[in-house]
Amino acid sequence: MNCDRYRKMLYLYRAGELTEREKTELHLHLQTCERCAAERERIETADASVRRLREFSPTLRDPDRLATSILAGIRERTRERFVDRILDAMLAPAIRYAAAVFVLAAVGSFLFQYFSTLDQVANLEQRFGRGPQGQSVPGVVYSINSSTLRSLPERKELQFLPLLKDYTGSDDSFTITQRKLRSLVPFMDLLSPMTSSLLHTAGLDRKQINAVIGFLQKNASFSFTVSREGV
Amino acid sequence: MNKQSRLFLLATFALGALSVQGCLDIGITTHVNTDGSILRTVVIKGDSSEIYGGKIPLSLDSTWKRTIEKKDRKNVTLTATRLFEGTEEMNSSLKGTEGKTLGARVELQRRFQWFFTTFRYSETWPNFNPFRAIPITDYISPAELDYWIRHEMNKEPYSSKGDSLAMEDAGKRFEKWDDENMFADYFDAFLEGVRKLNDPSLTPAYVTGLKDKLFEQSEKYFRTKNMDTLTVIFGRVLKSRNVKKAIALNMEAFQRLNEKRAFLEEITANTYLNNVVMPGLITGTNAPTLEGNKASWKDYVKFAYFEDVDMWVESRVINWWAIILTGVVIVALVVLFLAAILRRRRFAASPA
Repeated sequence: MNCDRYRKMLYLYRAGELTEREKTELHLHLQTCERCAAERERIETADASVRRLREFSPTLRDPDRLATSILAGIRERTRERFVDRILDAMLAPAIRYAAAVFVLAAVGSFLFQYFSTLDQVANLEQRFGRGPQGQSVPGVVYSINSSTLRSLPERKELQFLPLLKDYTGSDDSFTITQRKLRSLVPFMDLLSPMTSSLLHTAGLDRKQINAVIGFLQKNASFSFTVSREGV
Repeated sequence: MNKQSRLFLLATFALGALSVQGCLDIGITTHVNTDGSILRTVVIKGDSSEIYGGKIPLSLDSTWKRTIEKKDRKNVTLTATRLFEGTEEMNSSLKGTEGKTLGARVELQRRFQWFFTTFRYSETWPNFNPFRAIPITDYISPAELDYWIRHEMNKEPYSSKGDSLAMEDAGKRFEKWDDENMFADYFDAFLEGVRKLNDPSLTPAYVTGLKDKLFEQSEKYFRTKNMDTLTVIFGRVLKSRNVKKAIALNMEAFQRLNEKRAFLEEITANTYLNNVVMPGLITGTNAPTLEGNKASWKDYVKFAYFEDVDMWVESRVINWWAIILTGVVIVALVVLFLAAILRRRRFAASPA
C-alpha cells in the first residue's frame, strides 16, 4: 500500500510539487524499496528519451524542389481530369446532337451559298450568251406543217403565227419554241398598250391568241432539243 | 433610221442634234472597295473650249484631284479622282445642281453571310429633264418604257414582229409627248404674258381655246429657239399683232425656258460611259456589258431624260478566314469525338 503512495509521489517529484519533508521521506523509501527505485529509474529513462526527441529538429535538403514537384503533380492530376471531363461530355447525347447540327448547318450553309452564287453567275452568263463551254440548254420546240394547219377549223386564228418573231420554216411548216410560247401570255398581260397594238395589227383579240397557244400545245408535234445557246 | 431605236434617238438627240456645239466623251469609273470606300474617277475628253469653258455637266469641285492633259486644242482630257469614305460623303458630292449639272445618288449595301460577303452597289441618275409639265406615262406605259430600255441596253430581242410594230407606235407616242411636254411650258409662259398684256382682243380664254392649234402649227418650229418664228406662228394662229408684246412682257420666263433647253442640249450631246468595278465575283447586274468584275453602261444616263435610271451591280467576296475557322472547328469536333470513342473503348477493354 505504501509503495503505491511513493510511486505517485515519484511523478509529483518530477513535476517539483513535493514539499521538502515529502522529498526526504521519498528518498528514504527509495533507499529501502527496490521496486520503487526501479520505477524511478524507468521514469528517468523515459524522461531522458523525451528530452532527446524534443531536441531533434528535421531539415529538408532542397525545400523548393519539393514544393515545385508537389504543385506539378497537382496540376497534372487536374489536367487529366479536365480532358477527361471534355471527352466524357463529347459523348453526351445533347453535345453530340448539337455538334452534328452545327456541322450540318455549316456545311449546308456553305453549299447553299456556293451553289446560289453559281446559279446567279450561270444566269448572268446565259444572259450575256457566253455560258461555259459545252453547257447545253434543253428546250421544247413545237412544229406543225401547213397541211395540218389548213385542215383545222381554227386556221383563221393561226394567221397570227407568222407575226411571231421566233418562227422558222417556210409555207410548209411552222416552229415555235416552248419558251416563246410560254412568254406570250404574261407578256400580253404586262404590256397592255403594246398588246392592244399587237392585236390591232394582227386583227386578233386575246381569246384568239390564247386559242392559238392552246392549239399548238394540243396539235403540234414537239421535239426535245439541246443547244448550247438555248432555243 | 432604225425603227426600234427611234425612241432612243429621239430621247437623246432630238434636242442635241439641233445644236452646233461639240460633245464631250465622259467616262466614269467607280471602284467599290471591300471596306466600303469608293474610288471615283471621271475622265472627260473634248474640245479645250468645253473643258475650260465650264461646259462640264458634272459637279467636280476642288475636293476632286484634277489633272488636265492637252494634246492639241481639240483633244483635251480632264481626269478627276476622289476617294469617298462612304456613300453619304459621295452622295453629298454627286447631288448636282438642277438645271446645271447632272446629279446621282449611290447606295452600297454590304451583307455579311459568314462564308461570303455580298455587295450591292446602285447608282441612280434622277430625271434631268427640266420640262415636266406632262408625265411621260400619259403617253407610254411604264412597262413599255422598261421593255424598251431593256431592249436598247441589254440587247434583248423583241419577242415578235408584233412587238417591233408596237414599239414603233410607242416611238411615235414618245415624240408626241416630248413635243407637247416642252410646248406646255412655253404655252404657260405665253399665257402669263397675255394676262399681263390685258388686251381684250387677246384674252387668256381665247388663247387657251386655240392651244391645240398653236401646238399643231408650232411644234416643228419652237424647238429652234428662234422666238421670232414662234411669234410669227402664234400671231398667225391667234390673228393678233400683240403676240410679240405678250411674249416681251414675260420674256424672263422665256429666257429661263431657253436656258433649260440649252442645258438639255449640252447633256444630250455628250456620250457617257459608266463603269463600276466591284470587289469579288459579279453575280448580278442590269449592265449590258460585263468584263471581269467590271460592269459597264454606255449612254444609260441619257434615259434619265424621261425617268430616273438605276444602274446596279451585285458581287460576292469569299471570306477565307471564315471558311478556315469553320473548317478548324469541324476538324476539332471530329478529333474530339474520335478521342472520346477511343477512350471509352480503352476503358471498356481494360480489366476492372
